[in-house]
Amino acid sequence: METVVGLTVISVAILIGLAALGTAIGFAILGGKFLEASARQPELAPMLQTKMFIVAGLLDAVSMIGVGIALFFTFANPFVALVN
Amino acid sequence: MASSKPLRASELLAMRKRAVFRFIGLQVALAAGLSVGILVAMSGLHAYSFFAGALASILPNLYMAWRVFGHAGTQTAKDVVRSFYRGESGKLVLTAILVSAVFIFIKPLASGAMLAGFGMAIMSHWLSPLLLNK
Repeated sequence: METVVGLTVISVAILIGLAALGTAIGFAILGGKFLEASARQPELAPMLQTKMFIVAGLLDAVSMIGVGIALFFTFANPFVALVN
Repeated sequence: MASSKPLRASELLAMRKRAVFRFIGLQVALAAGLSVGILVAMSGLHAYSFFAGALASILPNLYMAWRVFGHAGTQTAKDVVRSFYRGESGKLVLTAILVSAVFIFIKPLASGAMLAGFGMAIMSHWLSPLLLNK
């Protein structure tokens, strides 16, 4: 029982940590490219802002699902029921 | 006769802003429609769990949209990037809080339906290029 709970806590920490890391790297690249593109063609900035919003939604989709699954394991861990 | 005058940056941005908030409205409508379908096909427990999961993803998205597009007029590129970073970090934290709140405060809860609603709301982002690129 303790082993299952302990391993779940470690996996939840890895899931949330990697989700945050992936999102941070993705956003850093996205923000850098946006600044670059706006410096080259400032008139495209409003259009790029919307495109950036779309890409941001796609970028964090997988990491948000990771956060959801991590919290599912935190609050309703199915493996604890299996052990009991 | 249609005017061929090009749009100003602030007008273009206002148009895009409306499209983004309309997209979020569409996400809510889609989640509500699917919840009604689940209510008919399965049970009320599954329906509200699904809708709660979907809202746990849509509300942080609304926060991010407000952070990015919720100001009047245009911003400098640096300010846009800054508001994106703030919006995204807030979205991540808000998602964690809302999903936790759903698991803690909503009892009884069908966890599978809740995760399905959460995943559906996230996956509905794949529809956004169809609506926002017009």
